[in-house]
Amino acid sequence: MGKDTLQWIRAAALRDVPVGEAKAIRIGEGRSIALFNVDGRIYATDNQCPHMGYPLTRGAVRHGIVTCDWHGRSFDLEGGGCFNRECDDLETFSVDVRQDEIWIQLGDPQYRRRDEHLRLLWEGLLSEDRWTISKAIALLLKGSVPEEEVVEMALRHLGRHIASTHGAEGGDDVSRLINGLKVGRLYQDADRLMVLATAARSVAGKAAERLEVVPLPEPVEWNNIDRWTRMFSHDGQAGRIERCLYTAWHSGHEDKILPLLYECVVEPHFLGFADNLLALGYLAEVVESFGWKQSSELVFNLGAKLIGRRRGEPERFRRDAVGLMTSMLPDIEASQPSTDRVAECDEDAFASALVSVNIQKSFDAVNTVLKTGVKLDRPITTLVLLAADRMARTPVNVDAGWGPLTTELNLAASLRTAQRHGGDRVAAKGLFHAAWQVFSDRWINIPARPLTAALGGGTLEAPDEDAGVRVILDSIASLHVQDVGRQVLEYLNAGYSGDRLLHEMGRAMLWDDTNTQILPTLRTVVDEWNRGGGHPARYQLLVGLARYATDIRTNKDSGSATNTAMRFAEGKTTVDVFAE
Amino acid sequence: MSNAQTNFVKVADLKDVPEGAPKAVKVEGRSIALFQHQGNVYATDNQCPHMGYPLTRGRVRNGVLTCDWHGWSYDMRGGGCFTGGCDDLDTFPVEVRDSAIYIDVRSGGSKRKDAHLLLLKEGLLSEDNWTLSKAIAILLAKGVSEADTLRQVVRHMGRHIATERGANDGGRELALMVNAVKVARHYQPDDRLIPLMMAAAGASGRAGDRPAVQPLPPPVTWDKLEHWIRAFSADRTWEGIEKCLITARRLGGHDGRIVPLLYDCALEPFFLGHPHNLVLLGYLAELLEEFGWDLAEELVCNLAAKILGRDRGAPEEHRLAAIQMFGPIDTLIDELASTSPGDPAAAYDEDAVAKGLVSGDLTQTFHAISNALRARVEIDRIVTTMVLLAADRMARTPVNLNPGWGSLSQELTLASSVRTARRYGGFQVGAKALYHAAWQFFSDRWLNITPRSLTEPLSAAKSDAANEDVGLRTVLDAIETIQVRDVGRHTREYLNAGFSGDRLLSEMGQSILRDDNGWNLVHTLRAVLDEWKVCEGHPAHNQLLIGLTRWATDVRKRTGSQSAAQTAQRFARGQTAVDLYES
Repeated sequence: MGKDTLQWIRAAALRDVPVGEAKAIRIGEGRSIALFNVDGRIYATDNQCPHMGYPLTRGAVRHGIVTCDWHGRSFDLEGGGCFNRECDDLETFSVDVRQDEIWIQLGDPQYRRRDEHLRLLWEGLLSEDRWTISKAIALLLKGSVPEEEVVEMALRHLGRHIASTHGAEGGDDVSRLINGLKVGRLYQDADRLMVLATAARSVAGKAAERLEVVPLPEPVEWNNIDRWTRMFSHDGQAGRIERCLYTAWHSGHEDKILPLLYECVVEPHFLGFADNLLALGYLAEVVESFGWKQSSELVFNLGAKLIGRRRGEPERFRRDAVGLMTSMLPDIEASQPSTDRVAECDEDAFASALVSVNIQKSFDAVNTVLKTGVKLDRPITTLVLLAADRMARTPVNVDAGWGPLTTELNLAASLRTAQRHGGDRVAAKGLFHAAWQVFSDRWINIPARPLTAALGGGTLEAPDEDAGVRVILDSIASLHVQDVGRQVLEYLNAGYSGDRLLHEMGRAMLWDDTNTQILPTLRTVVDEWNRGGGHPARYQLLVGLARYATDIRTNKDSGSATNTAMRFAEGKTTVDVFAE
Repeated sequence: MSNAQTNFVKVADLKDVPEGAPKAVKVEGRSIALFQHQGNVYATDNQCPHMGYPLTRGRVRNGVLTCDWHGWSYDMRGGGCFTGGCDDLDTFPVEVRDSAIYIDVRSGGSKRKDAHLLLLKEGLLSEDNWTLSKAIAILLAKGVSEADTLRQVVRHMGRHIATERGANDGGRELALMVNAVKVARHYQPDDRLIPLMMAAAGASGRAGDRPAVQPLPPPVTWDKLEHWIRAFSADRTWEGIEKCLITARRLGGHDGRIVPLLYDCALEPFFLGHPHNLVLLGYLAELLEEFGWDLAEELVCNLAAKILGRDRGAPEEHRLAAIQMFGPIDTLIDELASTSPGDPAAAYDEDAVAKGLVSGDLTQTFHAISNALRARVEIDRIVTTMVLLAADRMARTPVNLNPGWGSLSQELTLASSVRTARRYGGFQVGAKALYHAAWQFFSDRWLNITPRSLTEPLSAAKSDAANEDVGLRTVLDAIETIQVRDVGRHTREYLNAGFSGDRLLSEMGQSILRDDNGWNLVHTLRAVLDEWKVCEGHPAHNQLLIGLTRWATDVRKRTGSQSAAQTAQRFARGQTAVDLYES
């Protein structure tokens, strides 16, 4: 659209904007425009400060520069350029004074600031500024920039951020990013922006230049990369692994990389490092979602840090467990899960061994299950529902153990990813790691219960599903942790929709300050709930989640930044508070 | 590779290299390590690419060779280093014929042409002095042009300063970098390693990610930018200055006006007492002259903005008085600039200027400069007076209490940098800069140095050394054994005997650079190297060298920092720890 075709409108009478003063006017759909009279020359700009939306008519003008009163951001009144970092330029309008009337030419309404706003997002990610991140994402989405581009920016930043400033604990950042994306896809509009901004904020941080990783000089065959990676992983030499992985990718062995990483993390000596398996699962999902090219720096750097982490000398129980699992390795290697035959296993016996507080019994039970040849989905489901059942019943009066319990749940569920990328043998070894987690949580005081027994409980006394959902959301919002579990069970017993309840509960959780903490578990519960099936303990997924979210909730209203960002992107912010 | 066959030479019998017992052989003057491992024979360079330890003494496992010293690991066959991408090991093709081992050393060699530039980058990022020394020594030994090496240093420094440094620490690093490069230029390539390493070390450090600064959208003119830069400097808003500088660059056609403008801002009265500003701008101007805007843009725009936008603090009583005196001074300078010099000046009363500068009285100090300017004395000539006055003070300051080396060397470098200001900023900038330099003399009035006429001849006693070599040895010995009470006299007598001052300065400079305290002296060494030429013929000329030797001797540390540089040089020539074990 050429400048000439843009519309001129009459904005104000010249006498209404005396020298040295400013006036706000409204045009179109309530948009506020600022008029300034500087020594007899009229300037027209957007009245919303591009930083946080404060009205610029209240700012100070000097040297042809308007400086916003709130955070001191400065702009060229004529061209609109901003003189500060982490701030967008200001929109300015051509002005014409015709017979004592001020006319302005309205801007081109088309969105043209994709590059600027992506750069703004990057700046926010680097400086860890929550507002800048939320605002940039809101503006990008409002401008119809695909969500993928936003996420790819966050991912690229995360790779460099972890590579230059993090150790193996960088896995937590990956968890928040990928789980945020998975959960975000279930929602729309403000909810989705909320999740996206939360995920992006949680990967923010400094990032520095680093030396480019280059492949090892040829000739290097895959079998050497394979044995070297295992050797360096065993020896805790993380720094030597990255180049091996990069070389593998560079010479076309990308399909073998994730299986190799998985084989390293399920080794017995990594028992007790649940975060390794979890983080690797999230890395695998990053690769699934974005491909190798986008994920390479992140996966090779963090992957190396995970499998090459130093382990320290194991304490007594862990040492026994490592010895026990090592002695069972021949059995595990020999086990063949069936593909066609429906093998059976005694689920209650398995679950009861897992919580037996005896690692020998626990590992024997895993070994027995493997020997039956049952499909690995089954014991994984058992582990998932066992964790959910424990979350549904853990006493909240002292220390409910939410951290360990959600790890049990997420770790068990991540064995499905492990199986997908590493195969049955990796998943089989992973079962021992999940069993170890349950064993090491033996201090949590939850009485044992047969997992296949009926849950019982009454039905919710609510006139309809809407009312039922409201009862539960009220309980969550008002932190009624002693009631909310029972209410969820009664709601489900009444035959109301669990899908709907989960969706609504998830939304409530996402708008609380605890959202970053809840994301991985919410995501697991959604996935596992959607697997369906008629397992008698299935309801415990929702019961456990509701109790967990209610107990840790803070009600601090972190959503305000997101709401403000949304309003900002619509052009409606504090201007409205001031302009009459 | 078609004629590879012809390059194979026999290096050992197979039986002499059993499994688990590596052997070192010399081929074409190079130490090569031979290994038998899992039935194969491997040949690699025997010098560990990290620090030169013999790899025959390392461990082998799964085809991975690990050096015993710092545990760096290499693929024995391809030579890939697992501990970094820029230290790959040279490996050589091997053939076993009739129970004898043949290798082809000609087909081995560097895996990556740019490996050593990468190594330099690694050193710059990690601030590891060994890596930097090694990289620079190898680049110099391989004949990579110094300019290419320095370009990488400057580019890195721009990002490093922009993301990690403020005006003060960034300024210190810039000063070290520029002066070390300038000092290096006074030496032959073989003796440049230490100053170049200092330059690189000055530029090294983390470099954060940073989106490029975008120019202001149009319409923006140079006049506006100039106005805004002055306003932001007065308001201490450095981000705005950087934005304007980048915009000026993008507008095009204004590059020549940027440095004079920066000088103009730095010479505002409110910056009186911030002498670093003036000195640092001089270094930035020199950097631009040498490397050009395209390479130095980020460094210059960012650091200049931080310097001009820095906080100044409220002026104390004397500074306030001095600032208020600038009204008439500005008028005088404008007047002089707008009128033609007219008749050549009457005889320059240098002693009167020098006397005013050290009078300890603010009015007299500034009047001394104003009178000289009114008499149409060339700015450069007044600078010579200031430089030699500072040198004379360094040559005579008592060392028993606090000799004030920091302040005195500041006087010298600041005075010398007024020449740069004059050259880039013109008459008015140069004239204003004189007052800022004069202020430094006033503020050093606490130093207990008796005034002396600068034009009076110095003592004429001569060295009784048999020849220049012996005389030189006497001075250098006095420096190295820290005879601070004698070294000044030795230097004077050496020069009085008619021995070469150029040679003494050059040798003394080396000695200073090799000492651990060389880092602190490099700025002054550079100024003395420049001024020794410029001030030739002045009766106080020799005080430049005398002052420098006294200072260098008084602050000397003697902790032997040169060893890293020497090791790096030997490393670059392929002679290192390998030789210690094989001789």
